[in-house]
Amino acid sequence: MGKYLIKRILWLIPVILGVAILIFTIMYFVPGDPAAIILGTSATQQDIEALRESMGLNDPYIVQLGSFLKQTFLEFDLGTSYVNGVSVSKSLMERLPQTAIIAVISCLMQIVVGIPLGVTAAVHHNKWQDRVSVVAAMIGISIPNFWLAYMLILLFSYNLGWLPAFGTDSWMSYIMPCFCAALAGMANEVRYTRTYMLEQIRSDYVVTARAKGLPERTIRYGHALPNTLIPLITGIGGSLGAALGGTVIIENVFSIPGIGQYMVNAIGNRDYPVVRGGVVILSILFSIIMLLVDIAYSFIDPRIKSQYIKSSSKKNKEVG
Amino acid sequence: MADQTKTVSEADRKLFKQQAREARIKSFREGWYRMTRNKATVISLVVIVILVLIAILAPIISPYDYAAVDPLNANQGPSLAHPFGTDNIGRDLMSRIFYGARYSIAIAFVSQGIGILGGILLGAIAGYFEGLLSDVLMRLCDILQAIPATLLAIVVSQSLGSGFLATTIALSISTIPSVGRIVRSLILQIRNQEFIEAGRAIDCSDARLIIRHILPNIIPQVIISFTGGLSGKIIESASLSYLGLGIQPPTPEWGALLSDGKAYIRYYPHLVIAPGIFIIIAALAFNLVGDGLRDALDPKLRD
Repeated sequence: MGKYLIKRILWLIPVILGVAILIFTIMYFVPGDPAAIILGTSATQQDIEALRESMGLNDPYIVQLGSFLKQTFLEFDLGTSYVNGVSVSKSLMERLPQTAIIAVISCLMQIVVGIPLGVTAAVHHNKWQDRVSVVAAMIGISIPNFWLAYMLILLFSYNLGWLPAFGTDSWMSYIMPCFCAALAGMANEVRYTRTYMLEQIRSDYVVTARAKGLPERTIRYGHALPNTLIPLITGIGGSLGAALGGTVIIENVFSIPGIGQYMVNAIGNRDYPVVRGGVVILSILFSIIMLLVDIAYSFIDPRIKSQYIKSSSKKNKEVG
Repeated sequence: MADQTKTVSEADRKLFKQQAREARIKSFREGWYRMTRNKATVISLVVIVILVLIAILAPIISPYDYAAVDPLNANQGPSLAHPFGTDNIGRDLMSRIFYGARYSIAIAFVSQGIGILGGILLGAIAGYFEGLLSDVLMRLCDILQAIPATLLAIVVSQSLGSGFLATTIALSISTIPSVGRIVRSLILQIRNQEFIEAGRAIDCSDARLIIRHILPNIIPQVIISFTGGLSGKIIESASLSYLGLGIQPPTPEWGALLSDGKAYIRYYPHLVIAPGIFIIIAALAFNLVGDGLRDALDPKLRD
């Protein structure tokens, strides 16, 4: 078990390294010359050439990649922004809380709204509660989050004047962004929960529990629900990841100074260090979440736990 | 003696082939029947057909030229002459949305198609060949999946530029690893069954085993993945255009229309509402058909 965990944690290193190489390579092929962008339209060819040389942009790909990896992973320095010369790590850390607030709250909303609705739908299979939840979830996954954001702004900010349309002045400013970021995840959570719960409710052990006269409540929440936890945790891990990605767009709609907005601006400005740094940081966060999900699995499910123990003891036998 | 075995095996082979074909047709017919029993699926299929027809017939059914500028009638709300209103330089929004269906729907199908084909290729290789190659491919999947999908599409789209093909490739990349994993796990299940062993025994080549004998068995799951992802692609491509990547205005892709209209939302909300509703209708229809197909084809859900 411990061995598996260590292996799983160590595996993060090559993955993150791979992400860094991949992102560097993709950004390397982005058309446009950062030196020309920094210097603006009035710069002479010589100025641009000199800056390119000093930025190391004339070095071959492999040299640039090497120095990028060395800087990032050995010196923990993501470089400085081409546009304003500010340290990328510093800017990212300043902006991380905004992104984290939205991602975490929207993830909580997904759990708090999604799971109960899904359970209700499954328990009342084919009754009105089920139909309403299924239709609502279906619509939820079909709405683009930024379009919903504009509709909410139109209604609550422009017409009713209840909520601010942009910025982060008070907690009120986070209501709409969090809801928009959460919607698709909530809808997915309802669908997952309903499917797995239905599967469980139809299984034999539920019939047995009914036969021996257990109250329906105990059967549902004491027996069936815990068995749906495994797939649900996968769903939550995935949706937190999706929320991290989704905030990129939501932050832009609501002008929230988070990592997403920073990166989208940087992409427009060919600000390579910012884009690379942002992707690497978000991917590290994402991978850590997935790791936690994996670990949570083994704690929740005795079957998976025993598998690890079995497989490791098998290996020991083979060796011995 | 040798001759006899050959003729017998020849006849047998023909018979087996026919039986296999009949079985396949039968299972598809059953799937179709199950699917058409679901009203929501049928209605959604009709909606998709209508949307595709709108896309194909856009030049005929559009009331105006999608690029015709008419400054005298700029920023009009919905009216009889312009059912969805006009934009800030007087272009008819309905015509633009009809033409936009061409881009949005084509992008969804093509990008999902590229993603699925890539996923099948990757999954088939990783599932069929054990060892280093398989490991390397799966680790590549790990890396691709460590980047949130939206982010990956944004970065790739920036790198490839804004054309149709570039956008579809940017959108397809996040599909490849997830489909690859599904295909791989299916192939791992199939690989050790008797009929593959039989194929090996009569000296089938690897390519033939994969293409003729293994892939046909995963077609239902591939169809499920394909339709299941279409709505996501519609929304993602709209998101890319919204961020100013992907298909650019003045091309009337639905997301680009939204992006065009967002500056005027406060006073002319119809510019954002109308294209958004088309995106939702398309996404909803694809989602419902995807669900219907899954229920009809997924062997796990069969009774």
